[in-house]
Amino acid sequence: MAGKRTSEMRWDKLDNTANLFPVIVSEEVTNVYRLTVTLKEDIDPELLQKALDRVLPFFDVFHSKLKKGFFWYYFETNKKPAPRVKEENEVPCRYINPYENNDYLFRVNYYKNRINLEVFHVLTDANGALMFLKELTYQYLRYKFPELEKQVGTGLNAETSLDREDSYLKNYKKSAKKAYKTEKALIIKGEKFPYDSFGIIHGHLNLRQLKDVAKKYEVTVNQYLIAVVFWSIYKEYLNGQPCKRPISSVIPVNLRPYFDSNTTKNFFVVVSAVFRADRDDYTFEEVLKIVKDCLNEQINKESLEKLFSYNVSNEKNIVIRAIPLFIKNIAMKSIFLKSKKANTMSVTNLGVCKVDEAYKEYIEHFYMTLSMSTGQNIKGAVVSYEDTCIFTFSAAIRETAIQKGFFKKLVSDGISVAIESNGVYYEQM
Amino acid sequence: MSKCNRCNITIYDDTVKCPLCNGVLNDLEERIQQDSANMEEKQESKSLTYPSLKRKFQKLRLVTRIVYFASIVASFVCVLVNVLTFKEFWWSWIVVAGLAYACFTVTYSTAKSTGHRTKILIQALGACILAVVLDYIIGYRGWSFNFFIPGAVVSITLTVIVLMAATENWQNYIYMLIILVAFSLLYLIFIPLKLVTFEIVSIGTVAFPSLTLLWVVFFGDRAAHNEIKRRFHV
Repeated sequence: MAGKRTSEMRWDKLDNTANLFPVIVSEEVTNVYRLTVTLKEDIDPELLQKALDRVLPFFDVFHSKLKKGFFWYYFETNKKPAPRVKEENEVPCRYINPYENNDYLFRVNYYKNRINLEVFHVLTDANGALMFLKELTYQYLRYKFPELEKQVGTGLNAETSLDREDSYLKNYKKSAKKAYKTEKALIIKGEKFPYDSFGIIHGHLNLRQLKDVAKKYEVTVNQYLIAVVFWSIYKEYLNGQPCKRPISSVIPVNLRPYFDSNTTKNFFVVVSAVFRADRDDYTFEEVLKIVKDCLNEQINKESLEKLFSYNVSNEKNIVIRAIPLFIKNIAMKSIFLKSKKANTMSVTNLGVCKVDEAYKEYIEHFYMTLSMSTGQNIKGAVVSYEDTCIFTFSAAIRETAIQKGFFKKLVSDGISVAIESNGVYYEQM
Repeated sequence: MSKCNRCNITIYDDTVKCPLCNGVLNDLEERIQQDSANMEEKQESKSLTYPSLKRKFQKLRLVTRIVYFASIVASFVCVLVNVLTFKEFWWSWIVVAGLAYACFTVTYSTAKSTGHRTKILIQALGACILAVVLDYIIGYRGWSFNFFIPGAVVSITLTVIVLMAATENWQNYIYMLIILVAFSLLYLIFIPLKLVTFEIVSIGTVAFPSLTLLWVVFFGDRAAHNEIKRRFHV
């Protein structure tokens, strides 16, 4: 054993949100999301692998494996080689089995001109993963176009952060107890795809037109898009009829801008947009106002701070800390199961993605895709780049009435829409 | 690229119908009039940005189902024969317990989401339970508690020692050793319950993994201490 002494292993605690993901993960609820970048040329897999091998060691959050301790899960430096880059040949956002992936909790694959980064949420949120994807893409482009290297150098981009601070712990303040949302929301039902498959529709929206329309309604782009989704559910799924259960959407909010953080770990909270369709004569403007008021009330620094502080105070409680992990897991799972039907869907907006000027001419689009989770049969993910905003619907059900209503409303408001799907809607019965 | 006139949107997929409203697309309507052969070509709609995925045939799932089905049938037949020819001995339960363990082994040992350390421990635990059940079925003589369980603990400890010597990240096995020590200490409660009658064997069962752990902690230096610190951080 003395001869096999290894260099000291680095380890790190999970952030506050990450503690939940290993508990609830399964083949059906993968908690994996996908970030995609499309380039203007087809991908060279060897160069992509080379780029991944080069970039990965800089990102401690990704260069790790998840281990189970007696009281908590934790991350440990992963000494195995980077996961193999493969051509896409499976359903997006599939469960990442560390035992088949060199113990890593992310995967990189490609198809034609697309590079897909799929990440288990325990590592980081989409904003943290986007930094990694951008660096991977930059490095790939430098290998592919050596003249770029002369122009921008060989190092990481100055905009990239490698910070792995637990910003929840740093910014929490003692707060009052908060109840977890358990009121059942409207669940979208329909004929389901096979368990290992789901439908994806990417809507390419003209960003300029989208901003103009949001401005006309005096709301943010995010509020407008969420209101259009609710409107579509109200008109297309409920046929404009009242419903006892509210239409409710989980809205993850990136906390970094509010708390001056640059962490590559998770740092977000979820708020809820809720619309109670208790009448049959709502107008779109009314739905929009409800969404706007609902989100404005929750998305401000004080409210957001309260939202995560209660969870962090639990994590800091010495009695809770000293409870063995398997008991904590039972408690967390039961809370999760109680609240899983409290939301109709999730809509996440990554915002406007900016890349270094030197790489712009090589990059076409960014996409984000969410995996399915129990109870939520439809989800939306938004990311904007240059003059295009891409709204991606992930759906566990075949019917596309909600997506149709959503895009039709955008078109009727004067926004140009183009769509692409993952092809499952064309499969024979 | 096509256009759906009903939805008024552009569609990038190579398709004959709109994925939203299922209506025939604009360019296709024109083509149908021009060339019907062309339509045949376009019958297979597909995404241009995602690969067509063939659903994988899962051989392992089929094997598991065959083993389960065969085990249930065999158990049923054995119990039936045992009932019809009963001569004071429920031998069929031996078959049932053995097949139950076989099913468990097929399912658990082939599970891709569990590491080899957990598999070794859980399989051994399953084997110990099977031994106790068999011991009871054939008229309890105590061999399961007195010899089988100690044998399992010693065997796994030896396995851990071999694995530690053979791998670079030997410290990963410390947690396994700690679980073994905890299990062997639990085993001591069978002494006052009179289930364990060979006390010297039980002392050896506790001593072997405990001394191995002590040795690792003493000679493992910082790597061992840090592993324990990580695993037990509160």
